[in-house]
Amino acid sequence: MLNSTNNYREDPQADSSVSPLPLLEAKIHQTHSLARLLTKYAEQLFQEYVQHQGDPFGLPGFSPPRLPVAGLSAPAPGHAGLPVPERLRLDAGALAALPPLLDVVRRLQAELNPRAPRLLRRLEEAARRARALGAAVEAVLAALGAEPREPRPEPAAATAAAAGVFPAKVLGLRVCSLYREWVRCTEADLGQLVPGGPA
Amino acid sequence: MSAMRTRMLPTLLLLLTATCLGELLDVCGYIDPESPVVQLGSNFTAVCVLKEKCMEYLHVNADYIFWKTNHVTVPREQYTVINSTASSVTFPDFSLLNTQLTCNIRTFGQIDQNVYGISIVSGLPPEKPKNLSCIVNEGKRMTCQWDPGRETHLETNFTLKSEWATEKFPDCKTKRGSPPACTVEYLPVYFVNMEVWVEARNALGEATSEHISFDPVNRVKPIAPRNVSVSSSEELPSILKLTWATSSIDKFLGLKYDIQYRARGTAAWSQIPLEDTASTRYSFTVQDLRPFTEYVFRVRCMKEDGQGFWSDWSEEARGTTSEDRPSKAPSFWYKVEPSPAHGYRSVRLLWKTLPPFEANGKILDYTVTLTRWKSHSQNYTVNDTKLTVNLTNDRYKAALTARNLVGTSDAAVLTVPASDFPAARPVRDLKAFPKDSRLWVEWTAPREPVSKYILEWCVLSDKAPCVPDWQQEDGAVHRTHLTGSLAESTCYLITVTPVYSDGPGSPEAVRAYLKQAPPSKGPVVRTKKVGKNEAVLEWEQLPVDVQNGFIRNYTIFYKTSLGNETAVNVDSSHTEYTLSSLTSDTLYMVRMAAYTDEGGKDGPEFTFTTPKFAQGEIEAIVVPVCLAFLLLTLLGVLLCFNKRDLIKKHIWPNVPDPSKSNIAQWSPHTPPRHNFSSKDQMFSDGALTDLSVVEIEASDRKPLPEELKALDLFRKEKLSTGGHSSGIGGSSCLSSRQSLSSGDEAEAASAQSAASAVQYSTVVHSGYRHQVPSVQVFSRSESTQPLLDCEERPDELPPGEGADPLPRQQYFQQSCRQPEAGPPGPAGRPQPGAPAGEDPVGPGQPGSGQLQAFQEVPAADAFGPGAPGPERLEADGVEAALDLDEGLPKSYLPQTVRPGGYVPQ
Repeated sequence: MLNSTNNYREDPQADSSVSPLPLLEAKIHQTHSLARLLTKYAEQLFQEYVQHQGDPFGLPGFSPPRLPVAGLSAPAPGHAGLPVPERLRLDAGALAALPPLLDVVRRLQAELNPRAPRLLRRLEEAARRARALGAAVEAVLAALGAEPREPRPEPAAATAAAAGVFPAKVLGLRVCSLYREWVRCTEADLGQLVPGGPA
Repeated sequence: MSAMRTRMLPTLLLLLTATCLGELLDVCGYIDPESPVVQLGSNFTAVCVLKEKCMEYLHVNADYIFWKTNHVTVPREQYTVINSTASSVTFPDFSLLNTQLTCNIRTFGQIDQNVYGISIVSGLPPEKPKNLSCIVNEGKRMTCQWDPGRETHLETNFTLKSEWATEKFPDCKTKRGSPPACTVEYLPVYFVNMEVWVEARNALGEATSEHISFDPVNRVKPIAPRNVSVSSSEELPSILKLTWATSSIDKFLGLKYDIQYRARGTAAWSQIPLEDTASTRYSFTVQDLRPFTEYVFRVRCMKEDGQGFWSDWSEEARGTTSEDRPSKAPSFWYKVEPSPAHGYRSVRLLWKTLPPFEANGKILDYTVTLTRWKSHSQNYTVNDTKLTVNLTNDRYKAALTARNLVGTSDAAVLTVPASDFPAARPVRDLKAFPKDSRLWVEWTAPREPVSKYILEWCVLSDKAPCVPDWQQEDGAVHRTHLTGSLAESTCYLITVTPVYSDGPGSPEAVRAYLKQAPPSKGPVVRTKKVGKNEAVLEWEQLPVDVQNGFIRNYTIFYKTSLGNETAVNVDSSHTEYTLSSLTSDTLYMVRMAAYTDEGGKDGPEFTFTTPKFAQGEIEAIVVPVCLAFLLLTLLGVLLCFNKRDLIKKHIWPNVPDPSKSNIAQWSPHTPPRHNFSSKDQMFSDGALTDLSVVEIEASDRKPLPEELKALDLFRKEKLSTGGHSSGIGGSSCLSSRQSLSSGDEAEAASAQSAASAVQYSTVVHSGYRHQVPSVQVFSRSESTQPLLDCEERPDELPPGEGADPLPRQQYFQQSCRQPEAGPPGPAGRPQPGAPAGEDPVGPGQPGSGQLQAFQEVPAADAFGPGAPGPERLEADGVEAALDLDEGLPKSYLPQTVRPGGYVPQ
C-alpha cells in the first residue's frame, strides 16, 4: 500500500521527472504561466475590491468614469498590432508602474476598509506579483535580445489624485482595472512566444 | 595578628569610602577579557590586573596572583607575570565548557582572597547548513528545513533568507530550541524564481548555506482531491467510475493522479497505472472488478511534470459493482444416515454458500436435481444449504445449481453410489500442519483420477460430540488449508475423502492443531503401590480438552522433604511408572508435568511415605517369634504338667485342714539330721536371745563372696521355710514352739513340757531343701479342738518342760507370750531389740504376711537403736548363718507329717 508522507524530504517522487526545457523556452513558459495566474488573481482582486467599496460600486449599472491615472494608461487599442518585443516592453513598463499605484490603493483602503485584511493582502501581493511579472518579462526580453525598456519616472501624481473618499475608491477601482488589463495583455503577448500558442 | 588587623582595617575603610561615594564595590582588580567566548580547542589567555590601592593596602603585587578554574588552582606553569600589577594565565587547547575563572591573591597570613571572576563560555562556530529544502503546501506559506551541522554548544541563530531578483523578503528566524526549519511569513508567488539560503550565526562566527533557486510552483504540495465518489454501471458489473474535485491550482498548472483501490475486507491496495492518470482529470473508470463487490478508492495528485510533492490521500470512497450470474457451482457433499424404512436410506445433501466473489450477487435459491440410475429425475428448490431425501439403495446422481437475480450457476454434480458400493482408493500420506496461522492439509493423490476432494474436520473434545465442518477442493489440488474459523489449542480431526466419478473413496483421517499450547492442567499422579524402596505411580491420560497440543512426554518430579528434586521423563504413551531406589520410611512429594511442543504444565503434588518394612517383612519376623513363643509355652505347659507335683509342692502345697485333723503319730525315733548344738554354742555371748537372722537389703545387694552366697541361699531357705510354716503357724503355737530353736530356754522348755498338747504345727515332711527329712513320722493333730492351754495360758506352762530335747530352728521361733497382742501372727518371730508384743507386722497377719514382714522390716527397727550399723549387723548375721550352715547343732526337731496323727514329743 502506498502512503503519502508529510515529510517532503523523503518523498521519492518529488522532483523525479523534471523535464529541463531550453532556458529561453522555459523562461517564456514560466512567465506566461505567471501572467496567466496573475490574470486570474487580478480578476479576483478586482471583484474583491468592488465588493468592499459599497454602493454604488457594486451595482450592476455603475460605470465610473475611466479617469486617467498618473503615469499609467490602459493598453492602447493598437497594442496587439505591435511587434511582440515592443509589446513586451510596453507590458514591462506598465507592470513596473503598477506596484506603486497598488501600494497607494492599499494605503487608501487600509484607511477606508481596515477590516478587509484579505483585500489589503491581495493588494500587497498584487504589487509584488506585478513587480515579479515585470521582472520576468524583462528577463524574457533580455533573453530574446531585445532592448530593455527605458526607465520611467515614478508616478508621483498618484497620491494627489486620492483626495476624498470617493475619488480614492475610484482611483483604486481604476488601478485594479489597469492591473487586470495589463496582466491580461501580458499573458496574451507572452502567449505569442509559447510553443504551440497562437502565432 | 595585630599587623593583620592593621592591614585589614584600611581595606575596610576603603570599601566603606567607596560605598559612600556611590560605588557598590571597588574591587581590587579585574580580568580581561570580561566575558570571553572561547572556541573549543583554541588557546585562551586572560590577564588579571591589580589596582594600586589594593596593592598598597594588602602589600601584594602580581606575584601574589594565582588562578583558579572551577575552584581548582591552575598550575603556575601557565602563569605569566606581565608586570607588578598584571599576571596572565594561558590555557592551551581549551576544552572546558562553561568555565569559572577567578583571579586570586594570597595576602599576609596565607589568606586567599578572590580578586575577580569571569565565566568563560566555550563552543564551536556554526557549520555551514546543508540539505536546505523547501515545500509549499498549497494555500499555505512556504516552509524550509535544513541540516544545522555539528553541535556548537553555543546559542546559534539560524535565519532563512529569501529574495526575488527584484526584491527581498522578510527574514525567517528560528526560535531557540526549535527544529531547524522555518516557515516564511508571506505567500509564495508561483512561477517566479526565488532564491533561498540559511545563515547560521553564534558568538564564534557565522556560516551560510548554499543558495537554492527554485520556482515555488515546483515545490508545491497540492491539496488532496476532495468530493471523491464512486458510481457503478448497470450494464457492466466489472466497472466502477470514480470522480473527484481538486483545488483551483489546476487552473494554472497541470496535475497527475494516483488512484488506488481494494475490495472491502482486504488490506492490499491495487494501483491504477500512473500513466493512465498522468494529466489533469476529474474522473476515472476502473475496470476488471469483481461483480457485486464493494470497493474502496482513494486518490492523490501532484504537479503534472512530477516536480513538487504528492498531495495527501483523499478520503476513502466506497462503491459496489453490479451483480452477475454466479461464476462457480457450490461445493456439494452428502451424508448417508440410517433410515427406518427398509430398503431406503436417508441421504442428507449438503452444500456451501458461494463466497461473494463467486456468488456475484445475492443467491435467491438452490435447485437440486436427483436422478436415479436410468430413471427419471426429480427437482428440489430450496433456500437452505441442505436437503434430506430418502433414497433407495440404488445409485443416484445429484446436481446442484445456485441462482441470483442475473442468472444460474453451473451445476455441481455428485454421485451417490449404491449402498453396497465398496469405498476404496483413499488418499495417501495424509498430513496436517500449521503454517502462517493456517492449518494446512497435504496428501498424495490416488492413482485414479479424482473429481474432487472433500475435507471434513471437527473439534475433538471430551465434552462435545464431533460436529464436522467441510470444504471441497478441486481434483487437481493436493494441498490446501482449512477455510473455517479455527481455534488455537484445539485438536481437530481432519478427514480427506477423494471423490471419484463413481462415488467417494475411503476417507483418511489425521489429527492436528492450528497452534499448540501448554496443557491447561497437569496430570494427576497417584501411587498405585508403595513399597519399601519403590513406588508405582499411575495417572490417567489428560483429557483432550486440556491437552492443548500433542502430549510429547511426561516428566515426573519427586523429592523428599529435604532432598533435591529428581526428574524422570516418561513417554506419553505410558500411564504408569515405577520409582525405584527410594528410601524406606521417607515422605516423598511427587508431581507430574505433561509437555506439548509449546511447554508443559505441572499437575498437583502428591505425597506418599514409603513403609519402614517391606511387605511380608513383619510377618517374616512376627510369625516365627510367635511360633517360638507358642512352642516354648507349650513346652512349659508340658513340663509343668510332668512336674506338677513338684510345682504344687513349691507353690501351693497341701494345707491340712485343721478342722479335719485327728490324732496322728509323731515319730520321735528318727533322729534329727542336724544336731544343733546348744544354744550356748551358737550364741555364746548370749547377746541375741531369739533370732540371729540377718536381713540383706535387696537394694544393697552386692556380689557376694562364696561364703555369703551360702548365707544368701540360707536366707532364701529361711524365707521358704517361713512360707511353709505360715499355713500352720497362724494357729499353732505349740508347733511353733516345737520348731523353734530359740535360745529362750524357758519358752522352749515350756513348749517341750506340753508333750500332751496337740500339735498344730506344719511339719516339713520331706525336709527343707538340702535338709534330709527324717523318716520318722510325726503325728499331728488334725482336730478342731480349742487352742492348747499354753496358748491361752502360757504363763502356766510347767517349767520342767523347758528343756527341749528336740532340735530347734531358731528362725522358726515363735513366742507364745503374746496373747495380749491379739492372735499371734503366724510364725511370728520376735523382733530383735523389740518387745514381742510390738511386732511391726501386726497381729493377724497370714503366713504370707509374715514373709512380707520379714522382708520389709527396716534394719533399724529390727535391731533397735543400740544395734550397730547395718553392715556390722550383716556381718554378724553372716557369721551366724555360717555357723548355722556349717552343720552346727540346731535347735530343730525334724518332723514328718503323717496324715492322721502325730507323735507326741
